[in-house]
Amino acid sequence: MATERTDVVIVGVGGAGGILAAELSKAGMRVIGLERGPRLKTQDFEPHDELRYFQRQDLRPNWKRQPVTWRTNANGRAAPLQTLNYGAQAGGGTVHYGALSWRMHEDDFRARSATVERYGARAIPEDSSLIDWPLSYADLEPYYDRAEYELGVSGKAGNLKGARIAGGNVFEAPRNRDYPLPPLIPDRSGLIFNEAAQKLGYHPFSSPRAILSQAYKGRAGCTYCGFCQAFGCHVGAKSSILVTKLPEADASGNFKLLTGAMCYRVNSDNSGRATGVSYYGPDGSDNAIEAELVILAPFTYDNTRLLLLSKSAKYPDGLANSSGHLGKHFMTHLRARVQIAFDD
Amino acid sequence: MSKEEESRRAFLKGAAAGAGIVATAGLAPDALAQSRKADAQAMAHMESGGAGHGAFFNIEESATIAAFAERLMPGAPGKPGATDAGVLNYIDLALAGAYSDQQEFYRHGLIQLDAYCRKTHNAAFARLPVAQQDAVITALESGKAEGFAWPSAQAFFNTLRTHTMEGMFADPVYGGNKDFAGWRLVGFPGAQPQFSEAEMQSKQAFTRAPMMGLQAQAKALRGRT
Repeated sequence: MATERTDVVIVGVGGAGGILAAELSKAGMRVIGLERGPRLKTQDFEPHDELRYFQRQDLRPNWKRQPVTWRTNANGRAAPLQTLNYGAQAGGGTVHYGALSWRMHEDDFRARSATVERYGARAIPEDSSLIDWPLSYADLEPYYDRAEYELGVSGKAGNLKGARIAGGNVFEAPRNRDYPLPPLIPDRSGLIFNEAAQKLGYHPFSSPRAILSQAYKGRAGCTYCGFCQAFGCHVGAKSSILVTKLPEADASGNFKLLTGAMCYRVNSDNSGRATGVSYYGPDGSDNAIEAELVILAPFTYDNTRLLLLSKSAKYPDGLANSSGHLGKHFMTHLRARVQIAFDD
Repeated sequence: MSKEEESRRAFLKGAAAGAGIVATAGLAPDALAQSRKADAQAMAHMESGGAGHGAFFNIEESATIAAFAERLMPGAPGKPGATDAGVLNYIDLALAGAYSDQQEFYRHGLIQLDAYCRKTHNAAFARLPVAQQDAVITALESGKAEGFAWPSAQAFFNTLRTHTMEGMFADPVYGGNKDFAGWRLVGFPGAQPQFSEAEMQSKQAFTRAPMMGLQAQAKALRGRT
């Protein structure tokens, strides 16, 4: 068993872990990232293949090898979810996602207060644990802005400091400046939808996407191949963490990525402080990392599972679970969709 | 077999496979195709499968799968079906590889299907007239076929349907969609790396020759670097 020492260990180098890896390594800390999947290259995504990536979900976790079970109510039978809508490689879900890049609305941060204001206290079931966020949209605005500019997001502002702009998303919360890149070009279905929606008095707009509509920060613009959701981008125009933040982490000289590494435990001492992690290497070896800072950044299922697996004599119910609420009140990746067939 | 014979066999296999791919992509220089024609035809028939089996299914099972798939995607003159596209070959290879965890699902499903057909129609599925095959398929799809435990009739139908579609429309590199039969059927030109604004906004269906599968595309990429 090999034990390594470092400043920071990050479990899961995806949308959250990849950004932290870049920022902390650039700040001078020695960072080790543990990633259960591989680190793929832009070249890996050409040519595109629907069977491999869409039908067989090659960029998503293998639900047969690492099943996540689900039941619709307490009396139901738990069965494996057959689509796990998050990532299974360095860059995480940002590698295969459709790159829709929404900011939350102001009321999303105050879900309980806003619901009560509009519909009354009785609108929220008594046993609901719905609460407001501890911060507001205004608190986060500068960081939304920074992310859009650092990663590269294409779109058109519809609300600049309170001024509504036709053609943009006039329903969005106020932003301090426009997107760094103009909207992506619509295809025929987009044009038809836009025209019809305008005729009906609606306010259609091009959805903001973390896909480059033109060259940006040394990366090429989109070629409109159409293989976004479920696929990796073959020109690197999708602003995934794989092609944006990980190269920054590499350039710092302080970042080491371990792929095929499955973390199975967070180690802690008697004071309650996390001291590092244990993980299985790609060869099945049992290894440990000791670190000043331990960051857990896998998808919420694996995060919760890791904390529950990390119980000790002092923490018999798992880490970060003094409340007994760990693993409850889940908010996972929901999918609402509408599909429409047009005659022409 | 001598070393020389072995290497000759290996060469012929490679040549046959290569010729098959280039020919389907419509790129074969005539001279090259001519010089290897005899060997290539013989080997392509044996090696490129298309309608065959041999990696997983036995003879009886393959007849059932082929007949079932053909009823789901029936062929007609000028309209390729599951047999033309080599759906059986696709499923046979998938069960020997990527879907090997579903071997028992198929074995149990086929045994149950066979028992159901013999009980209700006194013959194996592949020997039934088309109308009775369709009645069996409908009974599976609606879950009304009796005698199915695991997999359920509906689960077996759904899997066969999904795998038939995969064999029709997945890239030929996986063993189905022979000569792009499925793509031609629905007018899919294959994955394109790029569309112009005019192409995206055109009212005309997009076409671009030659149609290229994954192997031909990968070859083109190698040439580019």
